Amino acid sequence: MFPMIISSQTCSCAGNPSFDPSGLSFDNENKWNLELSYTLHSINDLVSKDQEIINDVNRRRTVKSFFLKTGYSISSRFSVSTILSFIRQERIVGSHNNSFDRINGIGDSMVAFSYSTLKDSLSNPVKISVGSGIKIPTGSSQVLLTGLASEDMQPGTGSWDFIFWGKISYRNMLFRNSDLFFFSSFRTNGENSRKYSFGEESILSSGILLHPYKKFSLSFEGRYIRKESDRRFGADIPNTGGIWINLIPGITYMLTDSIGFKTRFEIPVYRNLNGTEQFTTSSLLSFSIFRQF
Amino acid sequence: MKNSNKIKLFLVFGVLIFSSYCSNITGNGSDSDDAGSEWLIPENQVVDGGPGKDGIPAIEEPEMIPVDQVTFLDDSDLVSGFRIGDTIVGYPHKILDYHEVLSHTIGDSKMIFSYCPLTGSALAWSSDGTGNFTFGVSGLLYNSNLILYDRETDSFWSQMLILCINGERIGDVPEIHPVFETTWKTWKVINPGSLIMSTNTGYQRDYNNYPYGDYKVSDNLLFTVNNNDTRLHKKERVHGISSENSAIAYPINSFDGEITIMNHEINNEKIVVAISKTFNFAISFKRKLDDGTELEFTKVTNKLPIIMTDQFGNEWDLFGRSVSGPRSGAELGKLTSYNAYWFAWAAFHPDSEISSGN
Repeated sequence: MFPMIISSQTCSCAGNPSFDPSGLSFDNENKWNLELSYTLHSINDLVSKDQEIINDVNRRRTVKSFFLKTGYSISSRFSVSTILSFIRQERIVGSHNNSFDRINGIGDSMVAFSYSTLKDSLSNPVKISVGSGIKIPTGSSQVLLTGLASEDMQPGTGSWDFIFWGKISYRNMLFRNSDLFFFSSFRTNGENSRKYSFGEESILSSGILLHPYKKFSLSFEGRYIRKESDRRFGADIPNTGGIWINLIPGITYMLTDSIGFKTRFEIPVYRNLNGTEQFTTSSLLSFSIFRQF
Repeated sequence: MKNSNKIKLFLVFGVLIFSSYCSNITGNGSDSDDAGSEWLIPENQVVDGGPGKDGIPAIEEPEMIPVDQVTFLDDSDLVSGFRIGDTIVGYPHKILDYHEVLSHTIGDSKMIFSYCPLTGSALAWSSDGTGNFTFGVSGLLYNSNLILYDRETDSFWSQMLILCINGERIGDVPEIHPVFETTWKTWKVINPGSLIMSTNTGYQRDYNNYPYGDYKVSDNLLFTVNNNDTRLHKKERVHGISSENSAIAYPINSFDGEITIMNHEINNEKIVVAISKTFNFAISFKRKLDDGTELEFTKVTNKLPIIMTDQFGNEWDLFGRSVSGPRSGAELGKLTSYNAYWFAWAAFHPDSEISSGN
């Protein structure tokens, strides 16, 4: 069966990576799963509600992240994963005196558990899994630039967060050699020492994984993201949160039976954001190399 | 390629890119073109507001239009401005919310006007004390208040401290100019010949949409401040006056009636404070003239912009200028005074008195 590793990380709106759990369940008993990925998240679109505003402040904001995911399937149903991250936040802004701010640092980490409630088989094309994860604030949230850097420029959120998800996939439902999948997750975020909490995030997504050849697969995913406003001192922060609909095409190529390479490109197709204007994701590109053994 | 070689390739690739990246790990890195390391305020209390330097675009030489051409303001909208010679200019808060800093040449005077939406403070600086520079929004805050930067030396200037706090110009004090702030309803009646900043700023913004939600009236702050003084509601608008280590705050909405004139004293400085809840303004000046004459003011009603008269029969307007009487044309001295939300005034002046007019 083609390894169904859709992704390890993605981001929705702000500079702090969301730990996307959609690829964290695997069910080959007593197998290790190792994945190293790099993401380039560009946050350059200035959007008012659902309209893009001409970016008139020459802003280039990127988050470059490395993620190292290690997973182990304890049984054919139960797996444990850890994710370590390294984050580079960069910001160049300026209509006159361009300033370049960069922060490097170890990011937050996650420990996740996944359980297959329904396993597929030759006679059963349906697979259902659920999981939960704890995001651990291993990254700093107190880094200084000129002054204390804003929350979305920090390597970590400084908060303990919890993620819950469920995933259903149907083998060969629409086409031969395909998997149709539906995924849903909810993330609730704690408050950090600066009394700041990132908004709760809900994701609904659906997509198809086509693998007509043993070594090569294509995926197409549509993702609906709803993020509540961030909060400080218990009150909503204006101009944070909103709704995004993103398209995510991806390609996976297997170098061997156990080693593969994949790339994904996430682009927003619809946004309706809270407040009057927000800088938000213009694109997210990721590359991963993975191995099962 | 054999499987073992592919595995080695995988490992080498991973180690190489991760190690090259991690070689730069600082956890505290910045390539920001910092102006200097010395700060006149605690550096750890300077916070990045989020948009970054110039992320909020300042305006240079705003387009101004006559009062009778203004169609975008509602009566309740606040306008702040000042007088230079015979020219009166007004800047609507609904535009300032999106730009915060203006560099504006009026006649021979180059002025820096700044407004911080988070602290509700509007100040006008003559550029004479700042090196005749243009200013931008640094993206930094101190006590939730705007920090400007000058584009020539990249020095940082605290708006409410009225002081260069970091950089080549550290310690420089700009010369402030009295700012008159009121609603559009009052402004257009008392300053019909003034010029108002237009919405044609060169930027695509919805100026009719306030960008900070319920911030103006809520009890919430967006950033930490030093002194949480609960004597007034956080967003109560006060007219604050400071002199060396003394400070007094006048809550504008506490002064009922058309106009209240108070002959007060702060730090042995004789001052006059004019406040009107009805017309929504507060302004203050020195009342001792350069020749040593000490004036005692009483209010004048129904003659706006004339608000007070002195014991010698001179009448004075909102901008501190004598418009009739033996001293016609004279001007009252400037104070370090401006309007702000109470929480911000209290954060910068933790020992401030609150005056109820007595």
